[in-house]
Amino acid sequence: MITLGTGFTSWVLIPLSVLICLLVVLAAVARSVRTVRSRRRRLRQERVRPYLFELIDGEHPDDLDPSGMRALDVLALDLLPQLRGADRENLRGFLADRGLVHRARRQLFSRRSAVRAEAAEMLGSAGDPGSAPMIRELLLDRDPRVRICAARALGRLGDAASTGDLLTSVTHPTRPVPSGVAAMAVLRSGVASAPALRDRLAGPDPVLRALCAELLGHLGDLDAVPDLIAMLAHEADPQVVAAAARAAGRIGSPQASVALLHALGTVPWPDARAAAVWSLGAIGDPVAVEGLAQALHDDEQGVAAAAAGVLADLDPQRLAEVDCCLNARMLAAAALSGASVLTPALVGGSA
Amino acid sequence: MARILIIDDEPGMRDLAAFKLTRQGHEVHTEGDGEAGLAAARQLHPDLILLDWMMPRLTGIEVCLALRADPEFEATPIILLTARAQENDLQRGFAAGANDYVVKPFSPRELVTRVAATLARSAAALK
Repeated sequence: MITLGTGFTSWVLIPLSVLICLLVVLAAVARSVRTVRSRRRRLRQERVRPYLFELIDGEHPDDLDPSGMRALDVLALDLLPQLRGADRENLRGFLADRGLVHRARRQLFSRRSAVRAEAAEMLGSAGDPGSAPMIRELLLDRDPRVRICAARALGRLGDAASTGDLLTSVTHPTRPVPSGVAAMAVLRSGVASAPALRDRLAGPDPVLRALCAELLGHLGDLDAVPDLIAMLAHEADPQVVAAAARAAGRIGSPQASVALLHALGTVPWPDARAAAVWSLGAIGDPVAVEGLAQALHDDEQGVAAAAAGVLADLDPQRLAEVDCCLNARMLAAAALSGASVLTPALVGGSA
Repeated sequence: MARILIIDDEPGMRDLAAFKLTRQGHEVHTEGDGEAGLAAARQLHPDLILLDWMMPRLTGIEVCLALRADPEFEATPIILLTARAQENDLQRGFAAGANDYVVKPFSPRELVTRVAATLARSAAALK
């Protein structure tokens, strides 16, 4: 029995050990191959980097071998999104002449999702505006990575015509694009995307209304102020009111001061009131001083503290009032917490 | 021509700016992080410093503040080169002592023009 057991163990252990050794050797070989390849790639890129800069200056390289040209393609794609102006156009023209743009456009329809994602990224980096309609279709791709790459690519292209599709993709029931990715893409399109954002401020979905308001604020779109004022007065969703208040503050137009003060005094949601306070501070309109002084007595400690900070900045002469009010609140809070601490002790003492 | 120090941790951007400015005839030195950049500035006494904001060890703002605190560098023109384009970022940059601000993605030609203009202003102020 002992011999049988030892033999069985040997039969299992020896092949297992050999297999493990083989795997370790394979992993080590693969790792060293990767290291050597990456070092070669880096060296090749260093060698061709001067050609890249000449390329930016409009001089096309004639004496590079095919591997050098491929390295140049990679460098050009890496650098392109960081450039503007005529130098960017030189690089874009080079990539188009190399056929990279044409190939990537074909790869957008590949059966492999990794290829579709990479092609979208590439076209975004290459700044090829003609590919925007094709990339827009990928916002509904079955693979979430492809959808994200497509949204990012549209952002890099700065394609304002995609704003509507990007916003709709956020609330897609089964194939959504993360709102942060879509928002960044819209922002990269700049003020040209503002009309599409304003159109959606009155849409049925509160998530989209809030997102559009936030984005208009980041874009500093003055034309959105009347719509934001209307939202502060009539909107029923707390997140949307808070977003509209923040947006009004970011835009910084005193036109919104009265609506923000009204929201500060009437809306029941502390986050929205805090946003109104922040925005009144950002606008810096003296008309807000009295409203902010009243907000020192807000039921919500955070709103009152924010109002104190803004009021102190807006009207330093009222510092004494701010201090007095905050001290009273702190004493009241201390008394409340003291009572809750003392009560058990008193109960214990009486026992 | 001027002696220019470029401090940027991104080799592509750093080398491109160096290439463009060298072609204009400037003497260009480069460093890849804030700490080395600060040391190089103290050693080289450049006529202009091109400074990235987000860098390892010391940020561009910290380098800028350290230079402005040193009387030898209070008049050295500093151009911040950064992707941070928000209004308060600009305020922070100028408050730290930067003379000009170039936002990424940037136009290399515009950068060369801004460097030339900043150097001209600095030379005029010294006269």
